[in-house]
Amino acid sequence: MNRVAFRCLHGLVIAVLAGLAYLLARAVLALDPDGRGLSDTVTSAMPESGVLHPLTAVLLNFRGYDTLLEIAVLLVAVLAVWSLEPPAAPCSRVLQEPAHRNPVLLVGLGVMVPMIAMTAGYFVWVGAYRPGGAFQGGALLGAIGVMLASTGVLPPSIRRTIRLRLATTIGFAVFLLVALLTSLWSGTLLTYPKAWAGLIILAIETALALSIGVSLALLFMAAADRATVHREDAP
Amino acid sequence: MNGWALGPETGLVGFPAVGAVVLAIAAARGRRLVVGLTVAATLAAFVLTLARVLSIGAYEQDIGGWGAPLGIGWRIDGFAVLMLGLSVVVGAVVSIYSLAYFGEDPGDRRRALFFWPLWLFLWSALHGLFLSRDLFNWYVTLELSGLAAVALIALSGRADALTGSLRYLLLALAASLLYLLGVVVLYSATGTLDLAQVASRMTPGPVALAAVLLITTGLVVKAALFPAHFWLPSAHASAPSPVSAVLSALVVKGGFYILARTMTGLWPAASADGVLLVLGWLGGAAVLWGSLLAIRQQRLKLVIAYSTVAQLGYLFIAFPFWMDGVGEQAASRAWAGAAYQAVSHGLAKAALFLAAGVLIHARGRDDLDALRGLGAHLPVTATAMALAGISLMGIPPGAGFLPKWMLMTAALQEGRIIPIMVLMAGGLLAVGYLFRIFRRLLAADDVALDHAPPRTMEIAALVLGILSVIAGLSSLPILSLLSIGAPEGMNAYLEGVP
Amino acid sequence: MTVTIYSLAAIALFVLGLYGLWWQPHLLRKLVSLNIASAGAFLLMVALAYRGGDPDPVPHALVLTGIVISVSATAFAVVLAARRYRETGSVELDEPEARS
Repeated sequence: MNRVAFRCLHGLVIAVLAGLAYLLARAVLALDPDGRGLSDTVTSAMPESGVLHPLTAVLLNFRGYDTLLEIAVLLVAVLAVWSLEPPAAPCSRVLQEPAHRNPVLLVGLGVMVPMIAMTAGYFVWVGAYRPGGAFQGGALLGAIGVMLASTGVLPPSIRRTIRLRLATTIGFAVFLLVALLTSLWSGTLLTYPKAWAGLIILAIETALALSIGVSLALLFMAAADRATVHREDAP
Repeated sequence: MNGWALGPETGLVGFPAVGAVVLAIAAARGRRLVVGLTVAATLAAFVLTLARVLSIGAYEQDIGGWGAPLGIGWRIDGFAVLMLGLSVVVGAVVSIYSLAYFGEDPGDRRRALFFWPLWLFLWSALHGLFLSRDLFNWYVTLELSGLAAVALIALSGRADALTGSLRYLLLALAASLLYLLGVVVLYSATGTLDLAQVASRMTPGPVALAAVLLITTGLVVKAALFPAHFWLPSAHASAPSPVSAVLSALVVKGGFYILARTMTGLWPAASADGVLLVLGWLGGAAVLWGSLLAIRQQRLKLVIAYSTVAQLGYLFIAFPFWMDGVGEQAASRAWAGAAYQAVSHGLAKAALFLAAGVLIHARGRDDLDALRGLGAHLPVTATAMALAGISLMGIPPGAGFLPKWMLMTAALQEGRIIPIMVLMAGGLLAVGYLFRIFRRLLAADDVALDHAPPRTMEIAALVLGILSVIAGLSSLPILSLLSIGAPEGMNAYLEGVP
Repeated sequence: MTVTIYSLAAIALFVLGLYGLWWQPHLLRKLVSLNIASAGAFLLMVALAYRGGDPDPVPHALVLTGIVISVSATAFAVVLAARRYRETGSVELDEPEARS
C-alpha cells in the first residue's frame, strides 16, 4: 500500500470513529437525566427473590438465564483453549524457580492461600445480602490458582483428569439441572419455588464459584503457556 | 401461567446443553449413545413445539416467571419456529454426518473430543437466540454461539484455519460491542430490554438514531453483509466440513434473524428509512460481488463460501420494502420471502458443504480440478450437490425459487426495477459458479478414489439435498406457519395464502 | 454532571479502543485495544445506571455478565494468537505469508 492510500485510509478510520463518538455523545446527552431504569421494579420484587441484595437477585433470579448462558461461555472458552493445545505432548517452560527452594515463598503461600480461600467462601455466603457472590468468590479462587501456578507449586502441566473436568463443569451442570428441574415443575426455566429460592441460589452460587475459580486459573495457565496434558479418550 | 405443564421449547435449549456437559465430562466411549439421545430428544422437543404453535398460535414464555421488563422472555411464533426447524434439521443431520466424519486416526479422535461439546453448545445457543425476544439475552447468545463457532473453526489447527478463526473472533467481538452499546442506549432511554416494550416506548430522535446505527452495524458484521463479509470466506472455507455447513447454514442467520426482528419491531418507531435503504443496496452489491468472486475461486470450499456471501445478500434486498410508504402487500411479500430464503439457503448450503466434505475426503485435497470424474464414483454425493444447486440457482422446484420470486413480485408491485435486475443477475451468476463444480464432477475422466468415504456422510448430504427440494414443494405449509404471529403489517400477503 | 463526565469518558475509551483494534497491526495490541473498548462500554453502562440517584442494579448485573464474557473471549484469543504464532511465526493478521 502506498503512503497516500495509507494516509487516506487512516483519515477515513478516524473520521468514522469520530462520527461514532459524536453520535454516542449526542444520544447520551439526550437521555433523561433522572431515568431510573428498573430500580423501582427490582425493589418491589425483592421480597420474592429469596435474597436481600438486588445485584444477586438480578443475576441469579430475575435474569438468571443470562447468567446460565454466561457460565456456558466460560466453559466454552476453557474447552476451546484445551482444543488448541498442540497434539504432541507439550513441554512447557516453568515460569519460576520451583517453590520448595524458597522457604519464604512457601510460608507466605501457606498463610495466604487458606486466607484467600476463606475470603472467597465468605464472599459467596455474603452475596445474599451484601456486595459479593459467586463471581467475586470465584475470582479469588482463580487468584489462588494463578499464585500456585506462577510460584511453581503446581506442576508445569496438569493432567485433565475426570476430577478437573468435573470441577470445571459443575457450576454450569448444577445451574442447568436446576433450570430443567424447575421447568418440569413450573413449565418455564428457572422459576424457583418461593420458599426455596434462597437455598437454591446459595447452592448454585457455591458450585458456580468453584467452577469459575478453576476455569479462570486454567485460562491463565493456558495463556501463560503452561499446558494441561491431553489424554487419549477424554476431553 | 399456561395450560401446558411443560414448555417443549425448553428442550431445544436444554437437551443440547445437557449433551454438551455430558460429553465435556465423559470419556469418548458412550459418545454415539449420548449424541443419538441428544439428537432424538431435540427433534422431539421441536415436534412438540411445532404442534403447540399450530394448535394455540404464537405464545410467549417468561423465564423465571417474572415477565418483562424484570425477567427475560421468549416469543415462539411462526418465524421463530421456522428458523428453529431449520436449525434442528440441519443440526441433526450434521450430527449424524460428524459421527462418521471424525474418523479413527489420532488427530481426528482428538478433534472429536472437543468438537462434540463445542458443537452442542453452539446448537443450544442458536436455539436460545431464535427463541429470545430480549435484547441483552441476544447479546449473550450471540457471544456463546460466536465463541463456540470460532473454536470449531480453529479445530483443525492448520495455519489458514487459525488465521481465519482469529480474524472472525476479533471482528465478532467488536461487532458484539457495537450491538451491546446500542442495547445500552435503548435500555437507558426506555428502562426495558424486551423488544416489544422497547418498541412501544421509543420515539424518533438522537437516541433512536444512535441505537439503530449501532445495532445494525454490529449485526451486519455478524451476518457478513457486504462489505463486512471479508472475514467469512477464509473462516468458513478453512473449518472442518460439518462446521462449515453449520456456520453457513445457521450461524450467520443468527445476525440476520435479530436484525429482521428488530427492524420489523423497533424501526417503525425509530423511523430509520435511510438505514433500510442502505441495507438493501448492500444486499444487492453482496449478491453481485459474492457471485463474481465465487466464479474466480480455485478451491471448492471457497466457491461455496463466496456463494454464501451472495446468497446472504438476498436476505437484505427485502429490507427496503419495510420503509414507510411501501404497500403492505409488497412489504409482507418481502418479509416472507426473506424468511423463506433463510431456510432454503440454509438447507442447500449445508447440503453443499457436507457433500464437499465427502469429495475432499475422497481425494484428500480441495482444489476444483481434484473433482474431475468423481461423479461416477460417488453418484449419491453428486445427486446431493445437484439438488442443492437447483435450489441455490433458484430453479423450481428447488426451495430457492419461491423466495426470489416473492422478492421479485414485491419489487414489481412497487415498480422498482433494480432489485429485479439484481435478482435475475444473481440467478445467472449462481449458474456460473455452480457449473464450474458440476462440469468437473461429471467429467468423463477415469480416476481412482484415494479413500472411500463413509456411506453415512454421503447419505447425510443427500438427505439435506432432498429436503432442499421438499422445502420448495411445501411452500404452503411454510408460508402458513410464517403467518402465525407475524409482526404487525407483515401479514397482508400471508393472509391470502390458503 | 458526574454522570455526564463519566459517560463522555466512557465513549472516549470505547472509540479509542476501536481505533486501536482497527489500526494496530500487532495482535496483542489489538486484544488490549478490544479490552479498552469493552471497558468503555461497561463504564458507560455503570455511569448511566447512576442517573436516578441510587444506582439501578440491572445494568450492574449486565456488566458483570459482560465482564465474564470479555475475560473468556480474551483468554481464548490470546491462546489462539499464541498457537497461530507457533504455526506461522506471525504476530499480525495481514502479513502476506500468513494470508490464506
